[in-house]
Amino acid sequence: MALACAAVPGIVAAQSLTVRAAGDMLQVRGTGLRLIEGVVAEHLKDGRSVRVDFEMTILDKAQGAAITRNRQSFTLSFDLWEQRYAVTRAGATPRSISHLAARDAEAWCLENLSLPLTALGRFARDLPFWVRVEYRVQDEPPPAAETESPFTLRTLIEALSRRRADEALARSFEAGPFRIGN
Amino acid sequence: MHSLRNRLVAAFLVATLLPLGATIWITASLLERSLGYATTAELDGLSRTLEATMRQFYDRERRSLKQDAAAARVAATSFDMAAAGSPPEAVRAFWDSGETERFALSGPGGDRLDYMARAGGRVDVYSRDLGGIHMQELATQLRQARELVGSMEGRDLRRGFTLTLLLLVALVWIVSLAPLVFIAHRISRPIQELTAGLARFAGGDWDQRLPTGRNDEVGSAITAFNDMAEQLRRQRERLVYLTQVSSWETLARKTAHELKNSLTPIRLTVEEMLARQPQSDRAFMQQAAQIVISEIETLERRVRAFSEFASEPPVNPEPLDINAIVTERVSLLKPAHPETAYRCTLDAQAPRVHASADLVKGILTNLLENAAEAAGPGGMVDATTRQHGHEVVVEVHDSGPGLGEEAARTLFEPTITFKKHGMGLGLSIARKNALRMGGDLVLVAGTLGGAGFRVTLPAVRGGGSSAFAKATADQSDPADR
Repeated sequence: MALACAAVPGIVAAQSLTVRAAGDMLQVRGTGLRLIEGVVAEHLKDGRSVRVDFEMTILDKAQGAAITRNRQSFTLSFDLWEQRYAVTRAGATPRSISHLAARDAEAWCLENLSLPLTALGRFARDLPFWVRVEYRVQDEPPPAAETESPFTLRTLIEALSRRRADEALARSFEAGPFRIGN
Repeated sequence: MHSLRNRLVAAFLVATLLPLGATIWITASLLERSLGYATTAELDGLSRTLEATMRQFYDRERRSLKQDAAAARVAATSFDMAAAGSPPEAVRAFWDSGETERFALSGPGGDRLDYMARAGGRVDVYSRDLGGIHMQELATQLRQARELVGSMEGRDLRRGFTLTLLLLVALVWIVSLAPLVFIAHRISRPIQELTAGLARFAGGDWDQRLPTGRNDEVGSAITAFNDMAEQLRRQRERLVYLTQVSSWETLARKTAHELKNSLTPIRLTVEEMLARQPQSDRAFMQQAAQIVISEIETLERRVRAFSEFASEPPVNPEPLDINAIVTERVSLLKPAHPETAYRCTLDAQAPRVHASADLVKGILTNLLENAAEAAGPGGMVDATTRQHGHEVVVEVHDSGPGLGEEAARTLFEPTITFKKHGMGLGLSIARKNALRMGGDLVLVAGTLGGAGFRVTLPAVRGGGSSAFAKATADQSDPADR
């Protein structure tokens, strides 16, 4: 069965997300996703790793109930000499890719956020659905010294000298309705 | 009511706050100065400069390697991607990426630069040594430097150190405050109790005493308070008793005077009536007159007793050997009560007493007579002497039936008698005389099962001990009859 994904005109155009069926998987693309910029780009270019937690949710209507969802965490890093990004997908079957431009790295994250079409149930046949993609960016914490006790003078100074942590960068995109037809 | 404790705590606070504040100020100033030497900014600048320089170096090496590869100045290692066998991971990743060319670091620490170029179905890899420069290792070090800079920028060390210092100082201060409050409480509590005891004592609680057990100044104050309270209680009792005795003396003196004024004319009239009676009726009249005169004589004895009670013989105190007087009184008593056993336990170290000999002898005679009568035949009388502070104590105990509660309460009041003979004024007179000499006479728990009396007399200051007792102590028979 060949699947094609058709967005309802007028609504998709206003959104930055598109979906497509690739085999028996539903993939999402974010044309307006600007993950690697600003503070995230600065951190990466400083050589620090950045963890991004993605969640894709299929909704039965706008702001509606969740039909299914997929969560995935990615770790982004930057090659100082090649000026390229690398991404590693965490989980039971980790995958990595390197030498990517910023937009390619973002797209790779979304590609790996795919959902099996079977998870959509009856929405995989003819019913319209909405897609919401959320991500939250967090700095990878530096590895802690294993032997260090939590109650030392150093930890006390660390705790009292810490500036107010920046709010974790979080964004959410929602688009729809989409319909999967023959 | 914790003002003393609060003052002690406040004194501690005042005494410690100033040096504490100075210490914090000095430490904070040193901290401020030391933080001024921090090299975070220098590290930041250095790492950025190094990164830029190394990136230029890397770009130059890339261009150079690519030009050499194009000019065939460097040999290529080719991997046929369709052939069997697995190429290196980096080559496979390059092949899968679809890119036409790619540069990658290889070798230990990234000291080699590889140039991968797609050539049909194969990948040609050109490699060059970077002259011992470990680019990956350098990247790691730059990342650590940037992380350190980021970590420092994410912290306000001045605030952290200052808050830590203040927190620890406050903690130490509070921890030291707790035992101080405890100590202050321990110091102030007995003083509060002493003050409360004084207030209760002043309010009329003459039996108010405080527990001792401390060896410090407060303990001495409590002991002094207890001694003072005991002295005042005894003085007050003596004063009350003497006031009562004075009233009783006035009453006895007036009663004796009135009775005496009436009894003399009655006796003379009865005798005159008997003299004028005819001889024939004289027998009955004589018998009747004898009865009246006998009763008048009884009344006259009571009047004399009252007069004696009301009289106050002069007190001429002199140093007396109390052990000698006790021994003498017991010796005089033995013939009158030969069936009673006597025991004298005399303190050879007891000092002489400062008292009137006649009064002391009268008191001891009264007590010993009473004891012998109460003990009866086969009973025992025990007389003891000992020193107690600045007084000498004489105790007389008997093995008699003892005294009931009511009798003990009114024992020293006049006109009460428990004997076949006597007016019941002996103990009253004895106590009055003891008080007049600066001593006292009290009822104590008997050691022989009967009554016990204690006479206290003032000791002669520096008067030495009883010479008589020293001479006779060894010869006295404890159960001498």
